Amino acid sequence: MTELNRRNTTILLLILWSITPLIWQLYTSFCSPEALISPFENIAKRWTLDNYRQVFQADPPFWRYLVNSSLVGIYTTFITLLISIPAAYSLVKLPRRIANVSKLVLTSVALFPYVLLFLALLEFARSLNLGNNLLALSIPYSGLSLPLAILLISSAIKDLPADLEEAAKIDGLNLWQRFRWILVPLIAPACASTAIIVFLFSWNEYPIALTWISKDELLTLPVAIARLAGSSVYSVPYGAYAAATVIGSIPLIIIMIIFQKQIVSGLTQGAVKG
Amino acid sequence: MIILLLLPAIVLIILIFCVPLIRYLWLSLHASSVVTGLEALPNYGANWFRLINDDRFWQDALQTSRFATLSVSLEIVLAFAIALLLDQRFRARGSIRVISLLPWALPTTVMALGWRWIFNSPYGPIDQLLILFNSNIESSNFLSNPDIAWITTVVADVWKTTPFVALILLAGLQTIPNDLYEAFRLEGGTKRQAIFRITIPLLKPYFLISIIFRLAQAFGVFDLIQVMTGGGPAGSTESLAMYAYINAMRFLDFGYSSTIMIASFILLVAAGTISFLLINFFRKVIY
Amino acid sequence: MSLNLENLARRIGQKWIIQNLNLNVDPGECLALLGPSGCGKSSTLRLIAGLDKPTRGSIYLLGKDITNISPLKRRVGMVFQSYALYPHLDVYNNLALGLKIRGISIKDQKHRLDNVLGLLKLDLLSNYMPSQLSGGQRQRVALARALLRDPDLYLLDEPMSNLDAQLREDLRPELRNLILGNKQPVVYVTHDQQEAMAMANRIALLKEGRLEQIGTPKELYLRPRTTFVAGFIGRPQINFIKREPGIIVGIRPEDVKFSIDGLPSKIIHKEWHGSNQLLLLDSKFGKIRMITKANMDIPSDINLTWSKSKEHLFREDSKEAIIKD
Repeated sequence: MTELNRRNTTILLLILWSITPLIWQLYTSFCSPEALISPFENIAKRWTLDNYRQVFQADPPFWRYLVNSSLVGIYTTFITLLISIPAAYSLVKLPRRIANVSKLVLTSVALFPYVLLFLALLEFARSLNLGNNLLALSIPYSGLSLPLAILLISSAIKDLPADLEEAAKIDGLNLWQRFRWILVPLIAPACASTAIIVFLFSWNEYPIALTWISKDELLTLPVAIARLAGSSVYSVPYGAYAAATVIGSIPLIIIMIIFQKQIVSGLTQGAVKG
Repeated sequence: MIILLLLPAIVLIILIFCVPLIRYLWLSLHASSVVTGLEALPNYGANWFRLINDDRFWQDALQTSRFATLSVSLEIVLAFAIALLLDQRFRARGSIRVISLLPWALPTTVMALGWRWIFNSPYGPIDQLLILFNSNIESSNFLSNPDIAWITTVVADVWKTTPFVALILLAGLQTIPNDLYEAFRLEGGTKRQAIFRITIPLLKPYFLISIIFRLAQAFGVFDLIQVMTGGGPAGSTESLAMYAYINAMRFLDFGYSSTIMIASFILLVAAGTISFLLINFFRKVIY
Repeated sequence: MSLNLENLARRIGQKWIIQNLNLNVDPGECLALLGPSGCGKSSTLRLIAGLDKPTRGSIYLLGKDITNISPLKRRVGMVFQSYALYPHLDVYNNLALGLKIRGISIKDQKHRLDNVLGLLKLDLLSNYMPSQLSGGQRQRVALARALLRDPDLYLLDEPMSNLDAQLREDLRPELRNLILGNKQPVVYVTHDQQEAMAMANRIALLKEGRLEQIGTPKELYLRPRTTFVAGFIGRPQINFIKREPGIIVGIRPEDVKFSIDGLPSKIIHKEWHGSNQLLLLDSKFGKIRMITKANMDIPSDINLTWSKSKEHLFREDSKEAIIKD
């Protein structure tokens, strides 16, 4: 095999490895119950839309979870950016030694497996009556996203020439005006990357949503899906589940395609600067 | 003035990360369960004695370490290969990057459900394929065989997170200037030697970051197992986070659940330190 | 008096980067802060602009103490070395931002902007982004921004150092006309002695945070107070010769002449510059540089001399000038 062929084969394998499970879900979601249990045999009535019909006619309808997840995602992204941009700015302005220590702390906090926090967070929710509230759910989400968000945005601010802000001072811009007219427009790309990564995190988060939300109509997508799974491990009519996962994946696939550059640069920055 | 801007972030981070840890430490020294009416009464380390003699805890600790070690090693090796591949220039590199990142972007529960179907016996595609090629096999029982079930969770985890690790390593590869490779070639080094003599040593910080980050995540594995196997069969895939969750939510034993979480955290720090030392050790062996 | 610095000092950590600096700049006067990198000239400018706080000392502008006034309110027009144009705004909005912040009406903004754009020949570039401009154009935009601030004081931080040599010479007269036509004091930071001599009425030469000498370019050239000043001003560099113990003699290359029975020396290197040529000679006092006419064939062994009146004498221990007469 030539080197080129070997490379192309590897790429093909990579693509297959990445999307076969997804394709299989897609395929399953259109299968009739008979087709489902014998995928490799010839069956007269193979294709159906029943699975999707079932998902949308459920109570509450499945799109409800998409809306819930989107709402939490938007709240979380907004709160995280609102807090992390000023924090990142002050991190850059702090004396170097303090800034380095803070960065180390933030990095180790960002690495922390947050699953372990669910119980204490649940206690918060109970004592402050924050359960079953999507806006409240975005508070722990923002807290969990903050370390990474601050690191990403502060590295973007650090990359800006210091002259620019000084020129703005000489121009008479106060701190708020410098944020509004100079800093935020210039770090917009980093903010966009951060926003998308935070949004993805909050969209996908499971253990905290599981413990904070119990009302059916407020469930986020991952919890709703897991509930389906929990109903029975060996149940055969899997088509409806597949349809649910397909619907749950589509918004993310669209986000990935639109924002691929920001996602890649955000993750990359996180690794290089972190 | 500057500190004022930092204040909301500090408050929220302390509230979300530090307060819980202190609370756990406190709870782990108290009995707080249905028996005590969910009131916290000091029990003088009884939780910790219970933990040391709790076979299920140690079984879960072993399972979690096994899961984390195998999936992180596989991920690093695969991700390095993929990163080397994606570092080359070719058409449609961007789209391939997006496709390979899809597994990472989708909710874990969504894809865990998908994998459960793929490994389903006897209707999942893998079983069906096995039956198609060898009709003697009745069923592989991937998810109901305690020796195999955990491997399927590793497969799903590797599938989901390898692209992310690959991206980090790729970022590292792109910081290595091409001159180094050219200089090495002029001295008569082969491509393979270049990988071992230049790429891997220079990529060390990126390996380290990915390993530590992934190890921490794999150690806290929860969603994936919960949805794929529910901890079964026979508790063989149960992770520490799940055990803590079950103690808190099902047995309503908050004191013991907190003890498990503190213990998990200690084990994680230990595992991180050990892997760090191992990496340094191997690095010395290579040279 | 327009700008006064009194006993200005700044310390970072243990290091004094500016020590006891006293300077006056008159209205309409251009003072160059000159010196090698790290001498404190840019730091001084930042103190005047209010970007940093002095550890000690005071700054007065128009007789008013501005030491503790925020840079936002100092009415200072500054041109940065990098020009510091806002990369996300086009030329027009780069210039308009400061006016907008100060609450100037849209009509007045436009009027003043059109004036300045015309003055600096930027009319056709007003919709360009900074990245689309050449170095010279960027410098003009930065200058326009400083002019629009309607300042009491101009501060220029190496405004030419990012331009190529040709452009620098072209822009010098333009810059002089624009800012020196006004009544405000101008502080001009540069490391290029030639540029300082071309632009400034007076030069303040700094070394390690201290004022080494201040005076007109002519004074610094003709009567350097220390060996450092003598070595820094004038190119090619002055020759230092030890002829008698305790004394260093400085003689400029352009003052060295041929003679029949002078100091015997040997040519070791020649540079032909077109209008003249530079010779590097070896003598019993060490290496000596001299400038001669371009169209001259010179034998390799020659004798040198110079007029006693052109010599600069310095004490060897203190490196300070011995005042003649």
